[in-house]
Amino acid sequence: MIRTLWSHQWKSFWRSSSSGKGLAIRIFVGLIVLYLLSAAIILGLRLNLIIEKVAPARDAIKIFCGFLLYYFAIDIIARFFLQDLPTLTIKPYLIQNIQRRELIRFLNMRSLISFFNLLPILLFFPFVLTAITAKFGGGTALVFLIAVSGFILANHYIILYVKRKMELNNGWLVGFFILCVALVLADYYKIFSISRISNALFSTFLTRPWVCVFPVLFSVAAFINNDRFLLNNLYIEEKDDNQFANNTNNLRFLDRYGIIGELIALDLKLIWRNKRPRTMILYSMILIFYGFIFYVPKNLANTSHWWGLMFAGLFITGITLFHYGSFLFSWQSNFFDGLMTTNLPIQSYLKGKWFLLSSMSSALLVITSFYGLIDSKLILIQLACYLYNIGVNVIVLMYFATWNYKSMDLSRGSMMNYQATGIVQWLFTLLLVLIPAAIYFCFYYLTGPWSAIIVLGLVGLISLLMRDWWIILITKEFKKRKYSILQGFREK
Amino acid sequence: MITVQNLIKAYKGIAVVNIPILEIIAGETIGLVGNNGAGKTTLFRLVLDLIRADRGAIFSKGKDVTSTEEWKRYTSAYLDEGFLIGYLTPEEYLFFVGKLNNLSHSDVKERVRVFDRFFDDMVLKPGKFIRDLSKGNQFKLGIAACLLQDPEILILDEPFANLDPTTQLRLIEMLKDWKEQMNMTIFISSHDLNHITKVSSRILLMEKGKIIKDELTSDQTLKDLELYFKV
Repeated sequence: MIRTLWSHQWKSFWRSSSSGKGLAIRIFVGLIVLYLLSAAIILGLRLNLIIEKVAPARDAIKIFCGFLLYYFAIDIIARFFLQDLPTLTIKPYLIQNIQRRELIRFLNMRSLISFFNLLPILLFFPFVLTAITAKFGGGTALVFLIAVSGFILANHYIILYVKRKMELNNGWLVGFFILCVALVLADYYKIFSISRISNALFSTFLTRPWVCVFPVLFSVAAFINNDRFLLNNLYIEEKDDNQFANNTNNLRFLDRYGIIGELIALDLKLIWRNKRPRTMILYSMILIFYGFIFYVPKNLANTSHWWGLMFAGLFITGITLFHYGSFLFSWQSNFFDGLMTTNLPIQSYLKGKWFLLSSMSSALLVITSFYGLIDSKLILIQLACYLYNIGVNVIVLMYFATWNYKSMDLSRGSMMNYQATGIVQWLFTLLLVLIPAAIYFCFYYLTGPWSAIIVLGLVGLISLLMRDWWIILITKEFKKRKYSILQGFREK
Repeated sequence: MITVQNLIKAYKGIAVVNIPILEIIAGETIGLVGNNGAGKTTLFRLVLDLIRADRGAIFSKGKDVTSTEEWKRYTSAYLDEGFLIGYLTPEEYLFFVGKLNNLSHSDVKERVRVFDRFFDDMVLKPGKFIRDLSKGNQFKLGIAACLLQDPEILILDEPFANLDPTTQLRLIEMLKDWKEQMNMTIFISSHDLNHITKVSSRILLMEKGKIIKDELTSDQTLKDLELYFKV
């Protein structure tokens, strides 16, 4: 049975309607992953030498131990943003004569195939096998490996659990975020030092091998927790118990704006009343606080570091629109047929989308104006980035959205279709930031930092003034691929 | 009103729609029958420019449906629940459709009153989302949203399939009334031979993508159809 499930997954990967373009992206991501893994292997093999070079006087193994916990802490945060949830369209399988246990077991196994699980193995195992075996003997080294594996698995299943819980209850998102921030701050302000704890912890594994039982228990506990959660939640339809149904009086002010207002209201209701877009928007809003990482005195004072400010500005005034915009039409895939046949010219529809995206950016600009309290020039920088975002990036996003043929199921089931909040999303976001970065650097080296920022803003402004022309262009592109989009969206 | 010329749509080399010529005159009620997979829904999708034809064209009021969007102004269709917006309440959906057709909220409210007998209390209950309605009630809403727009062309795919018997009869009545009052061109498909012969002025029988019978409805038509399907 498990073999059948694997074969189904394999088939669905190759046969999905958006396989063409999705495939290209996946190959690209695959190549990057391959590169990183091979770099990791080399790094892992050379770790011994590297540590000796960096800190020649101290004990390499001690430094290694001190570093491990750091790694796992960063690992858990990275997994939170980048790890994909393994999903399976569960409905057809639930009715068949398959045990739920088997389905869950399959999912759990499937999820183990992840870059994050492979990376630490490649990085750390060589070192353990060489350096630690040399000093402490094979037995201890083996025990140490078990302990490290325990941590890897524990991280893996904890993140799966947290990510799934997050879908049900946004409180988890906030809680997790606060926890991460607290840990980072605690370490930064030396309230407790992660490296010291790590050192103590992993050295104990070396001296008292039986202690490795604990991480193993830890990982087993995480596994069981995840397992039980899945077992209890493997249902098709959960009532989306949100009482947000009747808050639409707030949106009456949009009535004045005619069709565009109506379309925006439609999208706002979509975001508000469906778990998936709501979660995504909230989750991307957290990245507003990115500013605190970049807007530090070092960057603010030194003009050669201003690119960091620009980077942050683009993210901060654009993150929501980047995330929402890449699935721009997919959100409405359930009723796209209806939208295309109703009395709504496609150009008006697209104009409505433009206004929606730029309003998101405008809202972000207003919200993040508090950064002006740190340094008043940030307001100008953010303004320039905002202009670029609504002038250029909105158009770029809309253009790429016309290539997205993947439907999206808004109804929250425990298992949904491939939830691309993983690497592909982030790669794409990177693209949106690289071009303005190029413009900035160009002018920075030619004429200086302030002018670079101003040029960025001007580019955005000029593009903004050309908006109607861009929309006509996008309409043409959309019409070219309308049929493929409709067909892809019909596939649930 | 609608002209189909040399229309061919094929999937993997097999033609699922193959119609050399078809003319629909304003005011006709066309009943489309055929077995499953005959190509009825595909034909509707082609008329609504939701699928690209491999060959040929469809003209609405003389203009190719793929080249302009003008037909959207006077055409309403309901094919399946993919035409409704699940997260809106029925009322909100009707207001939305109304807005797209320049109807104010009060206009919509008035026009919807006509459907009071058609809807039961379940449809317009406040606070209920469209996605929570039963399939039949969703269909009722879809049809109402279509008629709200005073279309010149109305396209319905198997409207009788999901409705309870009372509503089926009411729908037949309504279609007859509206046709007379507004001179609407109606294009429906159904598996219910009885109802479709009652409603339609002209019957098209499709088989494997081709129209094999095209005749005005008469007393003989029902018997002919039953004979065809008995085989």
